[in-house]
Amino acid sequence: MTFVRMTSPVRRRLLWLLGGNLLLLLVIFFCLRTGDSWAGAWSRFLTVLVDSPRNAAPEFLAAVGLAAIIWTGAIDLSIGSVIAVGGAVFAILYKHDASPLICFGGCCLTSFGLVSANGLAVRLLKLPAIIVTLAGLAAYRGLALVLVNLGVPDFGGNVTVSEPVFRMPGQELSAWIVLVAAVVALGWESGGRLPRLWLAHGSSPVACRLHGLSPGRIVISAFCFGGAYLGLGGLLYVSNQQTIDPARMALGFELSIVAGVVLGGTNIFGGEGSFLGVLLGVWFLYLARQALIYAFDDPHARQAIEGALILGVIGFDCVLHRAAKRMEELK
Amino acid sequence: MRSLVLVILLVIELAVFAMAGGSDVSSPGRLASYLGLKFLDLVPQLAPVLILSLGMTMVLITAGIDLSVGSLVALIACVMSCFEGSGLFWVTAVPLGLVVGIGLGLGNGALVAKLDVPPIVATLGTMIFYRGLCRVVMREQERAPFFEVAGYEWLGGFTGSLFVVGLLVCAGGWLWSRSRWRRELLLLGGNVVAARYAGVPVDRRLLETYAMMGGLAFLAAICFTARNGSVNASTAMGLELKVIVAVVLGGTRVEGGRGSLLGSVLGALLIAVLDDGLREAKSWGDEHLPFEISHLRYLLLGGLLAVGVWLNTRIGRRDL
Repeated sequence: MTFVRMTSPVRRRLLWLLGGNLLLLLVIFFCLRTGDSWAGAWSRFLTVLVDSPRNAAPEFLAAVGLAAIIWTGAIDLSIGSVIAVGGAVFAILYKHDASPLICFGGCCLTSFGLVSANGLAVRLLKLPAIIVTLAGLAAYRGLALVLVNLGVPDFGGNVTVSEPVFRMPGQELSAWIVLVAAVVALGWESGGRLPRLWLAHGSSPVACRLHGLSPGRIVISAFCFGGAYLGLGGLLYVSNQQTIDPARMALGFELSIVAGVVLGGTNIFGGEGSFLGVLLGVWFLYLARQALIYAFDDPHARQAIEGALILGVIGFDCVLHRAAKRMEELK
Repeated sequence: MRSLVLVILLVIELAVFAMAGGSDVSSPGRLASYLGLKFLDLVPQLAPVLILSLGMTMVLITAGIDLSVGSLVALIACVMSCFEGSGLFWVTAVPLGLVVGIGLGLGNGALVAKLDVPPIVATLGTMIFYRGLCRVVMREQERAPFFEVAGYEWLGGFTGSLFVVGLLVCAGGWLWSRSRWRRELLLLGGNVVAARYAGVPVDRRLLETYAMMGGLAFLAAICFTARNGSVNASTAMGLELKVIVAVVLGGTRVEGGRGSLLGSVLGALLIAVLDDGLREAKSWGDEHLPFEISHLRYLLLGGLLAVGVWLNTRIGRRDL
């Protein structure tokens, strides 16, 4: 049902990504096959496949959250720094002997609060979201550093979390959390009203206002949804690390998430996209990274190939519907 | 009016950091000598950001953005560092750096103009791609051939930087303010469909703008390497953020159609004063603050951006 409602560029991107992901899986399988029996290769391939929701859990959740924000025509560039603040709060609570549940709650709520605050600032200051969150990108990183310096006695640059119970969400539960969160998001997208309103607002805020809807509320609700998913993603990210270093934590995280969301068919200017596409886009990037690890001994070339791959997929897709877009523009 | 707001912010910033740094500005003479010394210090430091902010202003005016400038500056510097630091450097590495800069800038332009990839997505991809190329070129090495080249270090000093920046700002600004090209970019950024109907060669103008950004990235790389002397694959990481903050702070609209080079110059100055001031106020911070004062850099940068843009928007609304 959802697939039928999608616009044709999003549908086409989904098909592209399905094909691309299958191709990458084949590449990984044949890379694992080298010098090994079929059975050994198959067992290692299954491990790669099963581990992917766990390893890419923070990306999956953050991408779903960010996609909701982008659908409304806004963007949040501060998500990496938001995770750093969440990490700083986690570290402070941990150092003050708080229970694991309080640490997890503090980390999640901090990220949720900051992303929601971004939405509120966009609404109240009436500034473009890219500006507000660009300011947040810098300011939240500074806030994380100041907080951790104030809250952790004798802070030496990072905080080591040694007890396994504090790392349980990121280590053991992440795959299940991702699966549940993905099912909730996909179910809500197909049956809920709010995701449709986000897309409608991204397509035309004026039309939404004329229809009697409140554009401000729609944007804030998208930021709150994004905050909830990012809070969860941030918790999985932080609890997967053995050391919390707010200066470097999740540095550049927003770029890979934006890349995954756009790769998944979400229009960067809003009004178009699907959660399924976003999940496939993030999985594509994850599989591409895995394939590069197995296919290339040279680690230095991987980042360049990853960048070229993103550009190649998006560029090719843009070329395919360039003429239609130009005609639409001139109508 | 916008420039006045920036000048007031700049004066406040200078006054706060002069007090925090313990500088004596009690008489006009001492104030003049403090400002003179500050100017000598700031010009070489702000040259790369200022040069890039001129190009970024043009890109933002067209309703585009270039997130790859930091990686591009790093890549140009890395490519140039592969050459030996001899007299031949001027006829081998420098022209090659220029070709790489303009060529990759054109590549960005082609993605935006010819393939219709949204600028933020295109330059996000090239940002990752160029940084990856830096790693391919440099591996884990750090190379420093620049100070061995005769006359190169001069470009990183006060006179050299002032010469490059002054020439760009004065001559470039004069040409820019009188050119038809500027008006076409403003129209293009304001309304691309109207620009097409008005006969503006939109694709060509976009290609030219991004190629110019590449050329300016080459100049920024020259100033950067002439001051620092060495380069590695992580060079100029995060430079794009400073440049975008400077330009947006200067009153350029991110949606395109409006921008001022003078505003961007003032925005770059604000950021350079902030960086320099926090460095100088370190001892004050160690005494009075329970954390390192340098951590305030990010907070202030974000705060400055939000407040500056908000003020600009308020003023813009009143002007209308």
